[in-house]
Amino acid sequence: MKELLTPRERFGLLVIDEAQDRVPVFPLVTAHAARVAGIPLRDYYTDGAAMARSQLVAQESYGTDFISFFSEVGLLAEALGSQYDYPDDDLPLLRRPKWGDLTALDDAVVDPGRDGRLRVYIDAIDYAYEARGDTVPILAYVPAPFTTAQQLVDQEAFLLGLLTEPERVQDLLAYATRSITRFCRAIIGAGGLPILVDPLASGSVISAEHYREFALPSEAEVIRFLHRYDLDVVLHICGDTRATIGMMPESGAELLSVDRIDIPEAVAGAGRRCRIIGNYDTSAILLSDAATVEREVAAMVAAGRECPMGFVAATGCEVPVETPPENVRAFVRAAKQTGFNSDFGRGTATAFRRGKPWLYPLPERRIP
Amino acid sequence: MRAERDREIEGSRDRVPEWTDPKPARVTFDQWLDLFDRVPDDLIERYHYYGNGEAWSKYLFPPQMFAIYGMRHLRRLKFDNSLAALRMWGFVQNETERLFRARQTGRRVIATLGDLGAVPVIVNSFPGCVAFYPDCIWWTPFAMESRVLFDAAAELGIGDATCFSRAALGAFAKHSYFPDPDLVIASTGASCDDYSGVEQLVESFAPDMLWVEEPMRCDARPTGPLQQLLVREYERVVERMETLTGHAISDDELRQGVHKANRVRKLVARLRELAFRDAALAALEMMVIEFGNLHYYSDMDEWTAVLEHLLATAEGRAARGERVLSEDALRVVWVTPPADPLLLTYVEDAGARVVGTEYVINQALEVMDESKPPLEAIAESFMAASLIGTSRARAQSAIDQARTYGAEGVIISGIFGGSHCAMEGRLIADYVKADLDLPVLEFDVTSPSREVARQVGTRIDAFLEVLRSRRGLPRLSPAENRGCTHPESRR
Amino acid sequence: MELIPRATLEQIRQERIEEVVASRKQGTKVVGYFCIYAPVELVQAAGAIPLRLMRGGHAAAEAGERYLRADACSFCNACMGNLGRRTGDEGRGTEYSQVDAVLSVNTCDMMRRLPESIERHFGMKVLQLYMPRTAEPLPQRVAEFERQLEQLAGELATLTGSAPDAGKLEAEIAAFDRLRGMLRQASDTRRMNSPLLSGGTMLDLAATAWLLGPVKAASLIEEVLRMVAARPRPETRRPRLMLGGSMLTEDDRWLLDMVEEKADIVTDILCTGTRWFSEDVPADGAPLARLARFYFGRDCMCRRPNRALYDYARKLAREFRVEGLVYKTLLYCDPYAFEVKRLREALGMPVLHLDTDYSTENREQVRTRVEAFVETL
Repeated sequence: MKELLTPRERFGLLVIDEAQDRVPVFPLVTAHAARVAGIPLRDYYTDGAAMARSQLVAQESYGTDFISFFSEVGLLAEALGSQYDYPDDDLPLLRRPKWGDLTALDDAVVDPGRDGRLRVYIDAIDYAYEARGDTVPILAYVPAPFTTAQQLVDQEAFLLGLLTEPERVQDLLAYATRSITRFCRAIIGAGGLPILVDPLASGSVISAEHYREFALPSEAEVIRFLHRYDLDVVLHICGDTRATIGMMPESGAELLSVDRIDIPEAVAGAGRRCRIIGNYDTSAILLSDAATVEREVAAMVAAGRECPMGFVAATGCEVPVETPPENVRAFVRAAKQTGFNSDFGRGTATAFRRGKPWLYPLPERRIP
Repeated sequence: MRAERDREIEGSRDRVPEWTDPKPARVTFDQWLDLFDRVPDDLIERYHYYGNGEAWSKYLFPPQMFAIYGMRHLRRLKFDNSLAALRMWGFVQNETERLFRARQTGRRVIATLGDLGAVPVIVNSFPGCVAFYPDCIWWTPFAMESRVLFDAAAELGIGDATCFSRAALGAFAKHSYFPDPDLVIASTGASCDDYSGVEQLVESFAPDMLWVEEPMRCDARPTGPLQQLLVREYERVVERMETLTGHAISDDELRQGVHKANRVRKLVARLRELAFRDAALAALEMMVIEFGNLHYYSDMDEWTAVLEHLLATAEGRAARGERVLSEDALRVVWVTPPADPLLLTYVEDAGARVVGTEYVINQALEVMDESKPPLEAIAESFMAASLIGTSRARAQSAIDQARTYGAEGVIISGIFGGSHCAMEGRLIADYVKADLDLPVLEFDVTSPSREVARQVGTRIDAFLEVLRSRRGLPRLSPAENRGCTHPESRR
Repeated sequence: MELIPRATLEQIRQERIEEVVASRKQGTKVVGYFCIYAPVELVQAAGAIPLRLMRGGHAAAEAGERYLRADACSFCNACMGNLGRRTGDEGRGTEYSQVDAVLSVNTCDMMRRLPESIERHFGMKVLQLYMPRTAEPLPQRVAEFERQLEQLAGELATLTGSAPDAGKLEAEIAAFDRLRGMLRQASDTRRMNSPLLSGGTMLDLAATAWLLGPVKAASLIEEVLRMVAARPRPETRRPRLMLGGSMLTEDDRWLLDMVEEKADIVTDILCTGTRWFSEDVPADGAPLARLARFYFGRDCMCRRPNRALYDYARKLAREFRVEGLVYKTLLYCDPYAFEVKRLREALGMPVLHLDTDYSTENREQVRTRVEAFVETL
């Protein structure tokens, strides 16, 4: 059925606190797009045009509201010197981090045109933007400093360092941030909207205290950089964020993409300050039947659309590569139907009002 | 009059001591990102619209921000590299958001259609009211390189062989380019049929629309009685606004509204002079500046401040003998605004510059006579409107500017299927050739695309070759003709 | 079989043109006009002969492209073409060859701008009448229009040497009202099933009657009414259609013939059809004021808002038991073309929309569409 608004028009209303014709729909279709397009995974994450074509096919096929580029969290770390294996039919795997411990850092800052596979993303963004940038927002996941740091240093050493060498951890975060902001700048130049992804900062990995001391300030630093361009920032943290949901708005992000937390809890914790994106279980979308997906997504959207700042119907994390397409279709169908706004355009639409200024006191700057 | 105008705007300069503009130049989209990196945070924090200090009302952002949100065409354009120009672009590109914020902050939003410059003077005199022209959405399909709004208009009955202003109808249907207005005021009469047709169909979105007559001007007849008709029409606008706002407007408030509008018009008059005579600003910025006279891009106070900033920049350049375009550039007058702004970039890249404009908005450029009662002053200035009279009158404006600024040619851009374009193009060309013996290029702007259509580009190139040859200059090769700054070679 | 053979009407028209030629030789001025907003009463009261210039045609439109662009509406191009050829072989014996001045009323934008091209290219005198396009009869608008009529009266007096005083105007109003009434009577015969008067003949009759003028036309129309009353109507019942769209002229007659092979055109909302004579000038007030109210109040798709035309269409559809609308627009005629979707919704009946110029190449395609349309009814 032909819709009134394009995804871009819909997203535009969401980020200026206006009601939309329906809830935007965003199952996190990343590498799964390669399967939809029949493109080998390895091509997907090593060839920008292949990555873009996959996303374009998937977006058109599923009727979703965003195109998003992501392969794995090690993207920046690889560009800085960590080593990854490229299996034929799987995503890149970390073989060896750049450093074995929190040793002295170098001066490296990535060159997005040359280092690692950053160029793949830039090319993909450019391709998709030229193809469909007028109607669909083009998003690019950027691994946040805290997650990137754990791909640069042996993870055990890093996590131990949170307790024993906090200053070195902060230095490493600042090091990662410099490259992340450089990469974000290149994404901006190509027409993409950076999304900050920080899965290794979830409650599944670290404590709430460590989140506040380390991950949150570094997220805020990147977001401050992005706010210089007035961009609306999505912060995605998959895993358990029940203990940190109340802090996440302090990062400055306008939209929070969540995973293992009930929607009402997410709304209660952050819904007055941020739009909530989420959060259908990725195991469920992989393993359930389509009817179950449809039923459960409808319930999720019914709860989520009550979020005062706005809601985007999404999965909690990436749609698994092997997800049956009919399940994704069921997700999209249920989300669109349940998220439909019959008041739109009738002069009675309720607008999401800004409750309070978003400028909360931000964690202290770390970047020199 | 000019001395008086200059005294009026004396002392209005917006100086930014913590920033020094680079030497004037037209820069690419990528180059602006580099320049923006140098802008200090406190400058970004300084400029807000609606006099609001909150973060959401900032607008000093680079073209990249707007490109990310869909304005793909910005990547092809060339921009003035001054801070004032950046501020102008950020302010103008921000308008959709600003209109929604207007509603959210309790302002009334009034859509004015058709007359291009008069009714907003009245609307803006009312407290808490913001006027805007959906007409200006005709640039949006080009800015986005998109058919979305045209397709929406087609579903409502308007096909492709019509003016691009049909995008406004598509925007009404979408409810996402501006908030549903509190009132729609549609002016029509001696006006373009395409847009009059759009207005009629817009009525289905606004059943309580107020229709205002635009009288026809005959060159040989006095305009006094027609002005009186207009005054009566404007009284109806006042009455409707009073009903809407519950505010009984005073004569003083209307006078104040005229005075503020005049301030904008005087600033723009001076900017035109500096641009046309001294190449202090380029054509793209000047088109944006001129069209600001219509509805002040929905925040008159802030737009006035933007203009003052631009004027300070332009005057500084003129005083230092700095130009944004070469002294050798071929001088052309441009008739009818190009819906595709890339055409202005193209022409300038090809070694020409615009030294005069007749952008169908003469009524918005005329300084109103403040010694008269306000509605009379507005009506009198509207009687100079570009489209209510003859093509001869428009041609005369182009001829006068061509003489003043030494133009070597005239470009007339039209739209295939546009009612006045179909009737006026040849006439204006004939008048210009008869009076000035200047070459005239007439062409139609083609549909939104990432680049200038080859057939149009070829015709522009050939036209400029003719101008060059009339100077006795040698022909350029195609590569030289394009310089190294062809939009296609952006990356 | 046609009630009046086309050849008969053509002969009447030619005879009338010859009379006009003779009158001109005697010093009578001829004022050409394009649309139903032209106050013919005023023209005639000033001692001039009003002639409606409403020929289209492919050759004329092509000839007009010397002066206007191809995307000017075909009728405007045809006007220029016909005026441009008026002194040549093609123009001899047409209304265009007899015009001393052109009276132009600003209806649509293209027609409003046509006079400037006429003056520039042909050096012809043009009398411009400004009529407010906005339709609500607010006092200031009607008053301005009346002032414009006064101005026009002065210009006509200069042209003819005879001022249209109140007495003459009163007489002309009465005469033209009689003509209108008679044409309405003729058109109303189509309320019956299986009407004898075809849509094509009705348009021809209207055009001929206006050419003849109120006095001479009376006998023609009376004869038509007598024939309608006397002849038996066919038993067969065919679909009843309404015709609408941009200015339809005798050069579009092929379309009416095509439609009427299978259906009856029982009414129309054309300015060359029923809208030309749908109402009389109001009876109360001074003659010029009455004329102002009358002409101001006429509906047209170009007026804003144009609800009155929709009301008129709905009324006719009801009264004439219309089953479908054939809506023919000229290429680039925006005021009419933009309204197709809205008309469909407003009338709630099948609508066949044809958007063409005067070229002849697409007629078989049109035939297919017409036949398919009629079959669906």
